[in-house]
Amino acid sequence: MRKVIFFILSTILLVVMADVILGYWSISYVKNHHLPGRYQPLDKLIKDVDTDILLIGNSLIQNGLNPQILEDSLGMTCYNGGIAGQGLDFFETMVDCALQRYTPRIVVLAFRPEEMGENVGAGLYEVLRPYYHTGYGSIDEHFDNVSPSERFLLKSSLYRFNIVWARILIYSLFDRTEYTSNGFYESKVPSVFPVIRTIDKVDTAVKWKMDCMERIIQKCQKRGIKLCVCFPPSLLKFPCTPVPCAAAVENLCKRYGVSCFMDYVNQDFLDAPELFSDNAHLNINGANVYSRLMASRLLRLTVNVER
Amino acid sequence: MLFNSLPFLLFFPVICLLYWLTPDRYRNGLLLIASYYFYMSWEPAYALLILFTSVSTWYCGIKIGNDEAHRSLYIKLCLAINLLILFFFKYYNFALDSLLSAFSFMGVVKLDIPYSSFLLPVGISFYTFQSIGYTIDVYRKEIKPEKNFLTYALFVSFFPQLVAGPIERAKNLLPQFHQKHFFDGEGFIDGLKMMIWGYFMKLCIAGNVAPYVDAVYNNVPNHHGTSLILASFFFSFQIFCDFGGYSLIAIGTARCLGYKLMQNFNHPYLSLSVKDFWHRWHISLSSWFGSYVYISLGGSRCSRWKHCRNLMVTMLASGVWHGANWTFVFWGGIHGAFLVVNTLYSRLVGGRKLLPRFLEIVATWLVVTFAWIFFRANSLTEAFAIVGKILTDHGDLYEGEGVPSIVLPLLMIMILMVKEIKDELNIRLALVHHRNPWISIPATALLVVIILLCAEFNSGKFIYFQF
Repeated sequence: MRKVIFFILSTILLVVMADVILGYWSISYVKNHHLPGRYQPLDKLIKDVDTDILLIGNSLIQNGLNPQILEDSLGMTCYNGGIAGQGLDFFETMVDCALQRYTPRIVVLAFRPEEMGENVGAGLYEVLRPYYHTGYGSIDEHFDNVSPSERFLLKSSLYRFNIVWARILIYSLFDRTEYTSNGFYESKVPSVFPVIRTIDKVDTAVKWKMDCMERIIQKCQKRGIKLCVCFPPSLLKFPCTPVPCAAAVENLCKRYGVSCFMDYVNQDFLDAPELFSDNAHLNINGANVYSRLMASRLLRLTVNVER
Repeated sequence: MLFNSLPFLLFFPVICLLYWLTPDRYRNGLLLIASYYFYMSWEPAYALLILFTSVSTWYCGIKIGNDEAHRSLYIKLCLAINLLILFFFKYYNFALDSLLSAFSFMGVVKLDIPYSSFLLPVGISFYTFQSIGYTIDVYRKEIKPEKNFLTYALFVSFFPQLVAGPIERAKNLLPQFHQKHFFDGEGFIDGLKMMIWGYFMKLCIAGNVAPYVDAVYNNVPNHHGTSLILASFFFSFQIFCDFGGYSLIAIGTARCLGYKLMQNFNHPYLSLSVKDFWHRWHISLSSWFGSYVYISLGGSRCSRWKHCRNLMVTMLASGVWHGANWTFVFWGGIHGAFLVVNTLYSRLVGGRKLLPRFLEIVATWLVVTFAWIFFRANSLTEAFAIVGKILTDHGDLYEGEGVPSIVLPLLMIMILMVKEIKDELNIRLALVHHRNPWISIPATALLVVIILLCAEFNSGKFIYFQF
């Protein structure tokens, strides 16, 4: 029995020591360096971005809006803060992180309508684990409200940096620039164009996501930021239009006087599969076309702001 | 309750502690309660099914042992009841679907037969086969019927191997419930080490390759053959590490409680032939089918063609056991066909070795991985489309969540294969299992650190739970 206790305690002790040492090193690395690879746009969004226009959303915006075109058209700086696989709770945290540092002039929030339904779960929030307890209040707040088991595991630095350290190491070894410095990810033109996919069923908006949306609007308006919500183009055919989720967001936007663009049913894009890399994402050509469209809309918006 | 969940990491030490503190005569009772609690934490109502299986097979076992005149009636009754339950929960919808499709193909009027909306009880195939195996053993007079119902109920529901095996034989496990168990420190530590390696396999390999495999296999039209080759390679390790990892955790858990479960995997990807593969892969199931199906059909002691037929029937049955989908039947058929080819080839060349050992291993692994395509694909049509793309379409490789999402699993697979080769070749290079605690303890701690750093903690349930 004594042997077993010695084995278990010594192993735990060594793991805890490794946790403390590696954890200390990892936290100081996150604070003082920029995380590489696919963490690069997120890291920049959390730590440095101070552009006039801030694009927040998931892969739809990451591939779908080219900041360079918006900058050239509007004469304002722009950063694409779209992070793949994310949801409303993540968008709110990103808005909070930005507002903690500065006040952008315009925030564009883009996601797909189904994002508001209950069948699409919360985003991949775990990518923010490395930033827990490193000085970002909104990230800490989110993790402090998750399940007790997750809170318990987050006490371990090894857990917080789980997978992340490997990404840091591998990206440091094989430096591959996948993103432009303004966060835009150029999606290739496929050899075979995608075809329109029919969606059988659409959900209604979930309350917690609507609450999230409302808080984002209120926070932006409180700081005098012009918010613009859009549902980017897709090659999806919905059973009814407007989709209930999108209609709910549109109504909310109307209530607060926020611009909302329902491009997911934009016929010009539905008729142009050559602008897409798959059913949901625009390719580089599509992104440029859509960016020009958004630039003209934002131009009108800024003219109104200046008036 | 999943082995890779926090509740199990609390449940296990509590049960271990209580078990070793409890006087010997109460331990089986404690394990029985713990086993039912373990199962009921998933779906309480389905514990009644295990109870029913336990009662029916135990009663039939007693009757088969004591009533010589009606023993064949009781074995038939026992098989019919338990296989019907299995059929209803696992195969009813599949059979109905196939029947309706066949009728529709033949132009027969559409029948309005309702589908079943019952959830598939976790581990039903495992505990049903274990209990059926017991009654057949009693019928064959290989073991005596168990008189104590509580001991028998524990044999059916023993929590380490309840939901995904190993499918234990009564002659191995039942006597252990009658033995006195004394705390064995070495055995306990060995059990813990097995569990840790099992977690490494499940969380660091199976968990890390799963997103890539799912992304590619669930969206075949949008991926090139190159990505499908990588996804198939990853799946071959996902299925091994998911199930092999589960088995190791199960065997390790039982070992900590003083029980020895049978080995379920023995370096399957170092097999020299498909026949050899089935002696190393899911050993408890293949030996079950070997004993109760293959041998019952006549085994190899018959004409060459009957022998081939027996192999084919056994493998098709194994395919059906895995799931209610034609993909599994086809997968079984592929293995059956290769076993037949293997048998005929062996008879043709005799004992001569035509290929070097390394090439035999690679060729076997390629065959097995080819068959996994049918196992993983969502439908037969899709499986053939995958094979077609692999052979013809070599476009860009899909990178998943970025280069690390491919490189990290490859590194983990490399660690696994180094250990597999080391164990296969009996190379005496122990770190975790070194006799000197000053080497084994830091090595174990390092493995835990690797798990904490590289594991995919959201990897969810084990693949074999659905079977």
